[in-house]
Amino acid sequence: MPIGFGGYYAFTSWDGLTHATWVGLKNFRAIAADATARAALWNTLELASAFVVASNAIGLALALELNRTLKTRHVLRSIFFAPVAISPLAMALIWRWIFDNEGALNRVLRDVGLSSLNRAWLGDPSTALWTILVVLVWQFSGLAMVLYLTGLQQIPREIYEAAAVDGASSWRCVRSVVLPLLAPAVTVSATITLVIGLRVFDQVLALTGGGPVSASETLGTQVYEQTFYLGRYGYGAAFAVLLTVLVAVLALTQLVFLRLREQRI
Amino acid sequence: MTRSRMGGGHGARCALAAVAFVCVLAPISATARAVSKESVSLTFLAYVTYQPAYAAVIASFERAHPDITVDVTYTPTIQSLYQLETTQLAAGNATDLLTTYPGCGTPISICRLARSGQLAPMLRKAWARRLDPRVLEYSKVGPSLFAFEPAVVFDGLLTNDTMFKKLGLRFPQTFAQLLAFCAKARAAGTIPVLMPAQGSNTLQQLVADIALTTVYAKDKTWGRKLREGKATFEGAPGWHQALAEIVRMNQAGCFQPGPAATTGPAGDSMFAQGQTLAYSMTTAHKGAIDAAKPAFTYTQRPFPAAERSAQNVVLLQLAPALSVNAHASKQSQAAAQQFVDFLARPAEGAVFARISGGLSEAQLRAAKFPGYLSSFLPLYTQGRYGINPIETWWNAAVGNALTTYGTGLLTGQESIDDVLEAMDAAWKLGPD
Repeated sequence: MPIGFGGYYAFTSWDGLTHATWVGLKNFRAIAADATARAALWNTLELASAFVVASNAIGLALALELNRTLKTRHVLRSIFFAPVAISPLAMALIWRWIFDNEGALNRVLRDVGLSSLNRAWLGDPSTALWTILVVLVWQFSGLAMVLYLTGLQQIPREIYEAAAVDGASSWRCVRSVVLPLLAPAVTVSATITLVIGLRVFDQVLALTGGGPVSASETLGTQVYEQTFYLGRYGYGAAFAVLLTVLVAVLALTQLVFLRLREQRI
Repeated sequence: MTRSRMGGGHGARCALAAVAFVCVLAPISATARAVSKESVSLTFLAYVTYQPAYAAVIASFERAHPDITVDVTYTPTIQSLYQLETTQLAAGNATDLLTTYPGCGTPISICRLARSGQLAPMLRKAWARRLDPRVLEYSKVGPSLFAFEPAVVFDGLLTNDTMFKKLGLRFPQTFAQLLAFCAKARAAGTIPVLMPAQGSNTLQQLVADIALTTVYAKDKTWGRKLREGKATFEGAPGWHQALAEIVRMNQAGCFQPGPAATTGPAGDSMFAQGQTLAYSMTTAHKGAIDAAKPAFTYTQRPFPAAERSAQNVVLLQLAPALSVNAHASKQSQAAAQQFVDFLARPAEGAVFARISGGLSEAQLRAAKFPGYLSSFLPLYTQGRYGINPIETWWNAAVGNALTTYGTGLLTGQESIDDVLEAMDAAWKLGPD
């Protein structure tokens, strides 16, 4: 029902307080013509793409390392997974303190003689979006790690032994044996992280508010700003519909592509 | 014989029983009456900057009205106040007491909420007759009054007077002197002017403050021309000049690094810690700054926007107003109106104004300015002040465009023309 009503309001002009007026595709035409909306779409795609690649690469690396027989592997797995369990908003507020002009990062850089690297990380349009990426990757790499660990533990030990007997190096073993067998885990992890990346909201709101100007604006923050700040509920609902369609199309496309790849392997 | 004796004795026993019954029942009834007199718990959504002032007034109110408690939720930023209140109103679970803004220029403006039936009218208020008519009109929609302004504040620069003295600096009186001041402050290793541009209306207010000198003082009909479609922001040289002053201040190094990432509460903290010589802010933040116990004296001074000091016009900002939710229960509405009436008393208004850093309506009319606002008195008595023009704009999108795109002037993402074109585009969306 909420999806239905949201879909309906996307075609209306509504301030949330009085009656909604049907306006057809006007909201969507306005989105197409709005530079901020286009920037939000581009930022969303850029952030999601970078997040999928980075979080899966780091998650896989962690999983490969922690799949070994280390005495501390269980403790380390818990440590790396812990950020996933923390509220994204609370985590982002802590990172905000770190990235503040007078925050921990700039202070450490000054103290080690690298003050030339000091930046207004959250207030500089060239770094704002990537700062959000750092927080996202830090928080969710543990999720990818867990998914890959599950996949790794389903690979029979005999496969590794056979590869070793055949003279495969560690890297060759990973590339030619482990990764193909991890295809289902890659599918799941890539799909989940893509959805997380496209829907990003809490971190953006807490760190930059979508600014400076629209340098870190995303579709999620536009839904929020248009609806709850400017009181343009119909226009905000149109953004929500656009975001939903985007997530569905991209996630399904990726899922189909990766499933086909699994079958080929 | 027996019947009469029995009747007479029986009657006396009955009378005695009746008296005893009444004597036992009366206190029980009184207790029951006392229990059945309901206590009311009012909910209230307000901005954290006013927490010290509201805490004091609410404590007094609750002592005077033991049957009413006021439960306040404070939002950390103005934007979160806008968002939370509009969401709650749309969902039908808004607080009994609402923070509203005068005029039409914000998402929680009185005109917007009153026209959509969200605000209860304030009828037959004796205190309304004491208010300055120019202030009162922003609390009305048509003939009906919908809000009470607990204080008015001035926009300008809060100055760390202790540091000024220590560095041997004088407060600038013209814009050219301000730029020179910035250079000297930078050389002394301190931040000249702190500008919290994220999640706050500070930049918007400063631009509006400058525009009072560069636009509205030069053409007193400009606001009317804008409404009639005979003027645009892009077409007004005064608006170009106002934004150019922000650009020049930024280029002269007046602001701290990364102003686009500094929030209002962070700015309050930085100023209270003595990290900056001046702070672009209204005195509405005085309570929050005092709560941090700064180790220096400070005052507020008019922003030197003009080429000559005699041309400066100061911005009078109406503090967030208090309104009553029209959809609250009758009991809550009645209690809420009582709270508003209590706050409207001159003594309570003076307490609120003293703690929050503004002037009560009574103080404004009597021109009784406290020491830290004494710089504004000459301009006020000469009539060189104006109500914040943003409060006269007919929708919230224009102010939002000024805030959002204006921040781009600080980061180099936007030009002055970009900002003014965005404001014109927002104006064309029409009235809220």
